[in-house]
Amino acid sequence: MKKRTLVSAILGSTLFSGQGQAIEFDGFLTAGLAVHDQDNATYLDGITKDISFDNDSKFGLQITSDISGDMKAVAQLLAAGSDDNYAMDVEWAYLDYALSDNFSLRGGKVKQPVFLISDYFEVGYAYPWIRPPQEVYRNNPINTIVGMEALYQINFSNMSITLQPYLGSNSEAVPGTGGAVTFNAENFVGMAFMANTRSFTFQMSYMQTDVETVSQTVPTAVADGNANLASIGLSWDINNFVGYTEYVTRDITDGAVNSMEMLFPDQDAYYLTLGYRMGKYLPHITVASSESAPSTNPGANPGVNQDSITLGLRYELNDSAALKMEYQQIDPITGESGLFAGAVTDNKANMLSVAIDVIF
Amino acid sequence: MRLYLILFIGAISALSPQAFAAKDAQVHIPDMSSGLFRFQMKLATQGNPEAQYKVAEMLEAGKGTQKDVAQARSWFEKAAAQGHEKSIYKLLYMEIQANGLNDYSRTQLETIKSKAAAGMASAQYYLGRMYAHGVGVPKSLDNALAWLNKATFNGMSEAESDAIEVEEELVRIRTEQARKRSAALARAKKQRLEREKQLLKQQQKQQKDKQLVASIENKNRRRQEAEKLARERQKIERERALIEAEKARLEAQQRQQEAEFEKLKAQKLAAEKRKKKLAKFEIDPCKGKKARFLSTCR
Repeated sequence: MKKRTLVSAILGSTLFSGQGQAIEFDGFLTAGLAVHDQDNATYLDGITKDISFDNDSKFGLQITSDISGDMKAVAQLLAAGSDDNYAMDVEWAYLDYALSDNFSLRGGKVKQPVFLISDYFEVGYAYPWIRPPQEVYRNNPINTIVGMEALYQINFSNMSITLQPYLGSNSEAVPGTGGAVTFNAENFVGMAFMANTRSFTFQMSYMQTDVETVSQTVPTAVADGNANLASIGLSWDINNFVGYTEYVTRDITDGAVNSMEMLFPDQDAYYLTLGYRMGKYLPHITVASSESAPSTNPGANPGVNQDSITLGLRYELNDSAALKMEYQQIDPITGESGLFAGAVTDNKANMLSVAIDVIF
Repeated sequence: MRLYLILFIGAISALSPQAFAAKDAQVHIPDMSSGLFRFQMKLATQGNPEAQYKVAEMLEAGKGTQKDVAQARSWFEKAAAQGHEKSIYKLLYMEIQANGLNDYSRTQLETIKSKAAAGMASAQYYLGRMYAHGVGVPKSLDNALAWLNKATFNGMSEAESDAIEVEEELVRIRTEQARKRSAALARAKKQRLEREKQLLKQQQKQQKDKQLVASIENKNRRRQEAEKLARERQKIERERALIEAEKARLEAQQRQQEAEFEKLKAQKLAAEKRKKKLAKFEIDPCKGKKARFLSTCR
């Protein structure tokens, strides 16, 4: 509620301030279905053995208003099937103030620049998969922070360098607790570095935050600690060969209440995607793996230990719409469920996904 | 008198047919007339007033003897002196004829008229002659004929020839009058016809003129109407031409617009096809339409 009030205040003071500035609306939409062959398990946010549309379907609306030549307000509204049955949420809402051609300051609710595609994570049309490799992307349950960030961009010859430091806080529900337990991330600081050439994008990021988990029924902290997350990624697009690869490592340390590692184990994960563009078709293959170092304490969360291989095909319907189909085989390690909730038969699951991504 | 007439007729009957024919031809036959004259002269000389009267007439007319008016008058006077009425009237006749009316002759004329009215044949005879020749009275052939016929009816045989002459003259006059009247009528008719003809001609001319005028007027009117019609037709044609031109222009414009629309549509379709054909996935999120969703694209 507090966050939404802030966003509303930002919106009220910028986009709808009545200064006669043009307001630009841009939208994106993903209509996706997915189904797997596991009778007693749910994958991610609602994929079951029955065809489900909730996990991947979403609708977003981005609103941009130039307040002046060096100031603009941006908000992104998102209604996702995976989040409260398409309840509209404010994904971004920030005020951007350009101090120079290379340096901007932002305040409000901003995206965390953690992974290669964190900036456009919700815009399915902008990447080849139906959903980014979850073995890597699930390691950061927080996508946005309420705080500030700076954006420094500079060009060297044919290379563009971006530095993005940020600080702030956020609060999210702990996965698997159904909202009964939330964690609060405070003193959130991070930095992203990105280098772009015509064919390559390289990114490194690091962040660390103080975390405490709070039960909604017991007003004391369940656990506290510190989380560090570092990632490195590379993407390329050379002679129709495209690829993505990222590696992430998450390190959780307990605080005064010695149970944080039980909830959030250390994780290492990576993926590699290779594709070949043939006109409007882009077949691709992704190999992903996630490995955890769970707490040795009894009852600790085992984390995510799974491998997967994904075969996908993206087809460009036009320059604003793409049809995607994927087959994914997911292999949790023996005795665990990986990103599934529930038992996975023979530690192998097969999943089919189809989606259409549109921007408008 | 009747005796003289019988004698006269008997003398005539003794004449040859040639001589009778010659009388009809008014040719004097001296032999017969002279005998008669001599016979009458003998009686006249003996003092017979009727014979004196006859001799006087024959001398006056030159019948049977040389014409000798003076001697004739002498014989008339002799007979008159014996109270021979015809001679008296003859002398009066001659007097009036020669000298016109005077008091005496006028009195005598009135006497004759009275006697004639009383049925005296000789008076009737001379009154008739006076009317016949306009002697002492205004000439009136009708009166003359009436009195001569009465005289003839009353036994005055010589009145008959006068009556015939008068009648002939009357007929001639009447014929002439009739002829003149007829000619006048004919002339009048001719004039009337001429007038009618002229009138007709005039009317025809007027009619013709009228018709001509009407024809000219009609012609003018028709010409004016034709000109008006032609002007209106030209106007309509011009308007029609303008409308057609406007229509053609609009159609051409519409065709052009349609062509442009089709061209634009085709271009758009081609662009879309090209775009669709060229649509491809690019990793760089800052390329293409997706860039607007990123916060880090410049």
